[in-house]
Amino acid sequence: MIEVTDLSYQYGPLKALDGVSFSLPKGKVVGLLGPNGSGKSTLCLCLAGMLDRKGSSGEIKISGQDLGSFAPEELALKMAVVFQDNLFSFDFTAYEIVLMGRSPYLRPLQPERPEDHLIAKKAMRDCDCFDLKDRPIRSLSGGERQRVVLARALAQTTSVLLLDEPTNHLDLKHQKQILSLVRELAESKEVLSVVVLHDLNLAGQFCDHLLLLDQGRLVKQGTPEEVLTPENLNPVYQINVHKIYHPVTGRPQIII
Amino acid sequence: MKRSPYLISLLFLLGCSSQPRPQGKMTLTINDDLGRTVSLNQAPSRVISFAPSLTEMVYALGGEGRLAGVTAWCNWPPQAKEKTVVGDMMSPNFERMVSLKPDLALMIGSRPGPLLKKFEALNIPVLCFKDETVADIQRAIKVLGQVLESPSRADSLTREMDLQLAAIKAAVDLVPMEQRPKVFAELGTSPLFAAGDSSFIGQMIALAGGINVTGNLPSSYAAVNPELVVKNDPAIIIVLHPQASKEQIAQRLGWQNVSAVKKGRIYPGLDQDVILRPGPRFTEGLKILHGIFYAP
Amino acid sequence: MRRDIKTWYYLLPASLLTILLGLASGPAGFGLLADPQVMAIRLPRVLLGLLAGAGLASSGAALQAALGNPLAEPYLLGVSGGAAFGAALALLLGLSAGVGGAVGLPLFSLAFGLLALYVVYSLSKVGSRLPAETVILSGIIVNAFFSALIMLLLALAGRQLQEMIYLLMGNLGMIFGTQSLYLLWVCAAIIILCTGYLWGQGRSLDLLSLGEQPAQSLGLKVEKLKLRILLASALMVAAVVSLAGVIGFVGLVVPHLARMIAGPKNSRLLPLSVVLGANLLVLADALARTIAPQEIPVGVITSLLGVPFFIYLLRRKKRSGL
Repeated sequence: MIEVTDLSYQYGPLKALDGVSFSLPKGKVVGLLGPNGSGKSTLCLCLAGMLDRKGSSGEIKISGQDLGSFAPEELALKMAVVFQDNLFSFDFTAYEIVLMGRSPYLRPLQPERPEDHLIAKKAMRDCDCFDLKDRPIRSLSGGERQRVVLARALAQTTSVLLLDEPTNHLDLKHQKQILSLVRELAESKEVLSVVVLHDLNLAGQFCDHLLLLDQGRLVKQGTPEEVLTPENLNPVYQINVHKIYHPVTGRPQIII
Repeated sequence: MKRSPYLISLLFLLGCSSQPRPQGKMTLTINDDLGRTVSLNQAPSRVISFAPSLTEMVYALGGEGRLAGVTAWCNWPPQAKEKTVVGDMMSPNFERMVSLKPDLALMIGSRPGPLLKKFEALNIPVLCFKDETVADIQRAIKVLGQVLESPSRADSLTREMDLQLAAIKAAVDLVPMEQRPKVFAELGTSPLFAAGDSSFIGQMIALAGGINVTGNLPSSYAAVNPELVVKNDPAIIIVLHPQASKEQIAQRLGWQNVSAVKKGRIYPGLDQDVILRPGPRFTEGLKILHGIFYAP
Repeated sequence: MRRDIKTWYYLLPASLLTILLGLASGPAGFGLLADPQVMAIRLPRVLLGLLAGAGLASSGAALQAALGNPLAEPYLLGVSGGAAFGAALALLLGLSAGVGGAVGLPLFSLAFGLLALYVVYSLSKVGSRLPAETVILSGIIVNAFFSALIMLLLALAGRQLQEMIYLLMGNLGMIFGTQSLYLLWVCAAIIILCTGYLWGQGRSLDLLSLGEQPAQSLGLKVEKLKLRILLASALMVAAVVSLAGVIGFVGLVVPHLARMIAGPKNSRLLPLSVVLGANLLVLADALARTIAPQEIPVGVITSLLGVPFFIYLLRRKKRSGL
């Protein structure tokens, strides 16, 4: 569904991505891992079509069509993005924010239809932020805001989700909840989710496929079992790790 | 006080600018309109005039030989345009002024300001004249007559003025107040600018036998709402700026029933130099206005 | 804090009242006078007040959303500096004299306003993008440049000084003749069309205020839209400045007031801002015309009243814990 061939991105003198290639099918949860500066966010932004075409070389294809050939309104029907920073200048209510996720389906003067409201409300329930719906967005905590923005992305009902560090401000309960939700979407609706994660263990628990980046290069990709090994991780994270297995799920986990 | 021309020429030959002026016999003490006392050791020979009205007075008194610098606005008589320009009251060119080595500066002012202080710092004697009333004009002519050594010409000038004023006053007095024409003097268009009774033009209008419809303004000049003109219904509109033509004024919304518009008594293109300038030719301005107000 | 339909129930009669008050105020006497000539002077003035207030408020609201900055205001784009300079230049050159002179000044003003916008656009373009920060910075620079030029004109002014000062302070007292009345219609057309366009783009404005990247991810052609919004705002500002000079505070404060009543959703915010802006400016002008026989520039009133009002808004915000 997403095919990346030899993608490089240059920020002036800095090469943020260097010859990255991978192919992601639908219905999977893919984790993007790597230390700070490895190019995870840059890759995420490239996949979202946010970065200037000038600095990039290589190919990105969504469902066989070149990313650059999509107009923003077409891309928005296929792909939803949750960014790392969410700064709000005005006090929309949480519900109004989530409802904005429906705008790719609406014409400029067309008001939201009943189904749009249904989808928005369901998305909020799924993200456990429905009780926040009438609160002004700027009065919410970081974690609450993140759940609202996630709900907005879900309300966009796309087949691809790009999530840039969605668990950053969330407490344990909500971290599990969001990633379980993403898993469920992959299994029941064949949604491809690409999630940038810091937490290796969450990655191990919830992802089908992992991409390990280091200084712009894709050093390893594969299942969590294949990627989460001391041989792969030690040189990248510059620390000695140990691998154990989750007592219930049997998934690989990393301890330092 | 009489001065011997011989002595003056001697002093002139002796006194180049770098040498101090000899203290001495011919001292002229003037009190200017600001109450300042100015002492001159000799009749000035390099005078700078900072107002067109004062320049006209200098020429009228035969003092053009002593005039060294004028402003860019000094356009009468035509010869004045050939004198060196030293800027004007708003933006004086001190360098050029100092290079002319003036021994007297003439300016208009009703209170002391930074320009005055600058002159005093440069040790240039300054005479400040007011220009708000007819009496101011006559007094200025008399003082300048003294300074420029032509007091008799000053006297004859002011006498002539008095005669002309008396003639107009006599004609005007014959007309009872209720019959005098209401006049609107427009000084600007956007916004609409008018003059109060205390302004010079306000006095000119009154002297010429008109009634200023914007007479009671809190200041000499102010922007007014066009409603006031419509409400006060002037019979005559005099346009003292170049930005409105007769046709433009006639098609202003709401002015159609104003007497001046209905009767076409709108007068643009007047010689502002004689009407607005408080100088020696103001009686000509008065005659023009009187002629307009009482045209048959 | 958000009452929708009820607000309009109050606003419509209040607007009528404001218009009547505007028509009733003036040095010729308070009240809807029997003299149709005085009314013929007051009516275009009230119309200009409504249009200027509406144009400034809608421009301010749209800019605040498009630039994601609640402190944005219509004069940020440099257009007001350019338009004011154009008008001042026309005054100095005596362009408002003679036949067709009534339209000379506003046309000059409009031309320079649009020139300023073009300069801001060129300065703030980064590749194919128009980042909010560079737009704001360029606008400030262009405004500063034109301010310096205006000061130069003021120094050269001489007799036109007073007129230039009124221009810079914002003044609805333009004298309308049958010719220059067309300008009022042109201004009305510009403001109605641009405001209509902005209102139609209400949802896009909401999305834009989220930030450029989130807006794009939700399907907005961000740069194209931003350009159009800036253009619509700038056109309105140029039209207002060319007829009424630089009236301060309305474009900044009215959207804030409207937001307090109706919330930030632009489909509600824009019409409310427009109505509030129109009403407030007409009221301010009615006050300006009543307190003295001289013309007091309405910009003085809006600034004097705008400051304490802004302080009040600020304290309310602080109290509500933001």
